Amino acid sequence: MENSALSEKRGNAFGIAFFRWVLRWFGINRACEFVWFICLYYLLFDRQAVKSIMPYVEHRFPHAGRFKCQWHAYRMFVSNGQSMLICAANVAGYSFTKEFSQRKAILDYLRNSTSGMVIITSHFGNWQMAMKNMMDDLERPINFLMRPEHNKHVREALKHNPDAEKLHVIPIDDEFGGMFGVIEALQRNEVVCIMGDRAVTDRHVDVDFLDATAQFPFTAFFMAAQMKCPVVPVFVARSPEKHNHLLISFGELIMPQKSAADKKNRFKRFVQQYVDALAAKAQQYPFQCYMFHDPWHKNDADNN
Amino acid sequence: MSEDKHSELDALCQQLKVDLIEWLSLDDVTPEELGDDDALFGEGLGLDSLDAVEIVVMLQRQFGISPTDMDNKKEVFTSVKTLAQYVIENRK
Repeated sequence: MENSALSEKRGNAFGIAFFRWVLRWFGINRACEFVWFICLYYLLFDRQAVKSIMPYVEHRFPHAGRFKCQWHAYRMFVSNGQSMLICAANVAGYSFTKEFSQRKAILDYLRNSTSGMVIITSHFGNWQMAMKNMMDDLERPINFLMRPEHNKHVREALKHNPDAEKLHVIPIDDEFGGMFGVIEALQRNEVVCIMGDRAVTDRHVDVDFLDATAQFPFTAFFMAAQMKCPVVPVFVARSPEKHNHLLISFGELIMPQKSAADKKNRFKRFVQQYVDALAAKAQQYPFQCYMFHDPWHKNDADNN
Repeated sequence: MSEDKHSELDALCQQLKVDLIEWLSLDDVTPEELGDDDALFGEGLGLDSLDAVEIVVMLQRQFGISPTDMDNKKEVFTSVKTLAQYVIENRK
């Protein structure tokens, strides 16, 4: 997929090693400022990267003119670069302060329930660090359904975590798309983490996102309905004031149930609930929603 | 295969066809159109991994078996007949 290649380019081993070097010599706040210069390259020379972020920018800032959109694209690159830098800082052992919202409700649910739970994440803020922080807080093993190329980056991001044995990766590239791994984990009453913002197959529904119809996958809700467990959206934003302060918010518990609607649309209202939460975060932190693909493009998923 | 086992397999294949069509809401397929050896996924019936999940749940509820920890999932989920053979060998 075109966008995977782009994100790989921004997150390759050389880039991470370089950021680590900057971090070591300049510290986290200076290093985050340094990203502004680096990202000029992407704005000026990586037209494909600019093109990939434009659908989001144009939907999030519908009244922005051409130059303003370019400025917003630049800010998106900077924010994305800073997010990667913070992941590198995390691996290097930097400490972060955290502020939670709605965590108690989720922890209480897990303590009082014997069912598993599906956590739905997005390419938003420091989503990789959501994983680390969830491992710290949830008292159950966490399984991540992910592509093999994401696996190595996430493992890298988690490698100094003492609870890393609680982490299991379910690769999405087997003949059944990792679905058996998800069933097994939920049957063990564990937590399964699924990215919910990118439709790569035809398992998606049309929902309203930033005032237009967009395609989002329904896999997380389908699995939860089959296994009779809840779905919880999780977002990790960086504080706009302090780079080393994370704002981790858990959404409302969603209990998806099969309805009489056709297979694709039976989970639509649940997907919409998650997408509304994502849209609210995009309103609050517009430059931390790393939507380097076009969910509004009708044939995007079908072409993959 | 003995005649008893053969007829048990045939009966189970018929039952599974009816169950699959109902569970997966395959409105445009009838049990008669679905052959015992027809491929369930890909070029055959065109099922996908989410349909496989529904089949797993169906097998658990109908026959009390869990195919999730088997090594040869791909072979078991090949056709109605391979599913029926698995059910016969593993049902409780």
